[in-house]
Amino acid sequence: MNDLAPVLDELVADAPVGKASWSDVRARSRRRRGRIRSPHTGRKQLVVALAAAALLALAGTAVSVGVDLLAQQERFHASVPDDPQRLGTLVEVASGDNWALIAWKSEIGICLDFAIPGNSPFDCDFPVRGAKPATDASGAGPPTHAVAGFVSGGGLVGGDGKTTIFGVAARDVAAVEVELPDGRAVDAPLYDAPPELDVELRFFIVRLPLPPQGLGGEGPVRAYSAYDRDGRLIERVAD
Amino acid sequence: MRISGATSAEIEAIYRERFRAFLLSVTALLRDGEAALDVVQDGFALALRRRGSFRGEGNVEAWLWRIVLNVARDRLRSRRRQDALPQLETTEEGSDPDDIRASLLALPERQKLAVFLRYYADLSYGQIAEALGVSPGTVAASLNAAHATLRRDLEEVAR
Repeated sequence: MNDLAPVLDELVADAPVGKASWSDVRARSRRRRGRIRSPHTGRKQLVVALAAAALLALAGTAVSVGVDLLAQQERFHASVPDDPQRLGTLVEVASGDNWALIAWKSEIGICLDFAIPGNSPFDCDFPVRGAKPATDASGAGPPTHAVAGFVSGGGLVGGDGKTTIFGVAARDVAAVEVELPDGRAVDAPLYDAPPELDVELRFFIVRLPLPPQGLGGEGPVRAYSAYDRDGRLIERVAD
Repeated sequence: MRISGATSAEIEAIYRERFRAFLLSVTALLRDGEAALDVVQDGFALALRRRGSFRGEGNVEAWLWRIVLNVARDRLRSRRRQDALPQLETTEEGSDPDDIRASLLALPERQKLAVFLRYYADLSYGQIAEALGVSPGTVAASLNAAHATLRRDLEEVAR
């Protein structure tokens, strides 16, 4: 090998060895973890959503806002071609005042959209048993966790300022607790996967008025804990 | 006791300690320092996101090597699709260091990676085996074959 050293050294002469940046790795991790789906038509979507809400109010119907957000998501999905390929329909898991949690199957596993008028952060990479194919491009093997979550900060256009924490739990999980950096633990309501999804998973979502996070600091979630029906801890997963 | 999953602190520690080794190995593979930096950053970001899928019976660094090398291979495939990567020349008879470089780059991928991981990252045969997902015997055979090819070319240069 020593004879080869000059050639091997010359091969990497342009390597930018001084450019190590862990903060860049973390930023890339956050960017790829969940993407904000706010296409250039976002303003139009917002107008459509607001107009629809006004019409519903005038008509006095009892149709939930989630139905409108489902339609918005159909349009978003059609307009953003670089999302993972969708394999099924969009299915509403839970909804509230101007938000909906929408699940869909993709080529890389279960994805969740957190839909608000004109905006839609989403994530697909939940390393939870049953939420992903057994193998993926990273060669990392099948997912093994009982719970995993995603955090959408409170500064979203179209949002109400609350931080939203949502995610996936394995079928044997009966309760999920979200641990905040200050030590508080918040119970996250669990929802069974709607039958149309045809998956044995549960979903959770919790919305909290948390202060905005600074760059590079600790995230708004310290850990997720999954419990079984007898209240025994199945797993605590640090975020 | 860890049931499964790598912690972000473990991944960060390996990044800080081994960044240079990852960067040099990928630079040699891609022959482009900036592209290699992008791959290493993306690979560690991917690992950070998927740290829950690491299975605790293995070695975290080897798992990171697998992820980073897979990202690098994806990048190479993508480049080849775009015809942007100069085709590797097959070894030609010759007598200057450029020929040795060409010989090195024309080695089969596994041999080349074994050489790079041994030289730039100072990995043991066992660690290279884990990183490449092959047996240590295969690593030894790959390195022997690579050395035999390159030794022949070095001797020709010396003549």
